Amino acid sequence: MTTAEIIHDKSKLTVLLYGEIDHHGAQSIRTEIDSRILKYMPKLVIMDFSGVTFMDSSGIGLVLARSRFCTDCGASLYVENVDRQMSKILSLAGIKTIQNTTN
Amino acid sequence: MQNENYFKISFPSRSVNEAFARMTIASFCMQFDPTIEQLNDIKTAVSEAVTNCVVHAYPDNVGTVYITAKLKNNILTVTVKDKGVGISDIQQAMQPMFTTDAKTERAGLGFAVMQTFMDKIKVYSTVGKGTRVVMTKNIG
Ligand SMILES: Nc1ncnc2c1ncn2[C@@H]1O[C@H](COP(=O)(O)OP(=O)(O)O)[C@@H](O)[C@H]1O
Ligand SMILES: [Mg+2]
Repeated sequence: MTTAEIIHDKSKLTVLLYGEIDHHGAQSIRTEIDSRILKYMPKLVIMDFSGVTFMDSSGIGLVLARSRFCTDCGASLYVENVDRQMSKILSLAGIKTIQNTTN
Repeated sequence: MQNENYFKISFPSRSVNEAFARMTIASFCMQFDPTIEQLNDIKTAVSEAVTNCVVHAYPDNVGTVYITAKLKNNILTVTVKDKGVGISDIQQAMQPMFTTDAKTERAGLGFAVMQTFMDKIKVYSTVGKGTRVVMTKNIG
């Protein structure tokens, strides 16, 4: 199961992801994220992976497609709090991430 | 002998079973004391192979996915098999970023992940007959 908690604060949209991101789970959250981006038109979108317990290459597709969508909407996308395993996967697609907490 | 074991399962190619396959391979491997990283690597590789059966092997219908896993002399061998559409050019299919499914959000990196996270991977496929992915990893 994958869930997304989306927090809107002025020009920033934070997407807190929870659970396991695979092909099955990614399908259920992507439209929800996109519709919130369209609704709030933020300048900055943060995808926070600290609540994610598993991710395969479906996570790459999820991030890349959101990145394109953000560019189209004039927003910047940042990927935060991925663990070593996830950054190994994301780096296969050249996605750079930010580690900004103490976990 | 004590350290040898195997299992065989089959299940319908429904996307909910991607998680089921990961959990099953993880439980099987637990008895051999893998590191957390090794366990995660194996789960990720199996997730990719099973997802490919769900998405590509049986694009318009639900078929059967077969997994066999064996551990012997600290080497885990996992085979993920389908009787789906098959792959016409395996070399091309395994190239990073190659996908035949650009419409959805596939990254074309499933095989790259399997290659990165397992020690060895071999793919056998016949168009119209199906595909077999054999992966090995030393968890000694
Ligand atoms: N079991 C399979 N049956 C048929 N085609 C497959 C199978 N596995 C992989 N493929 C083909 O290989 C391509 C690359 O697979 P992969 O690296 O996992 O990327 P993705 O799944 O993102 O497309 C797929 O797009 C598909 O054309
Ligand atoms: Mg794939």
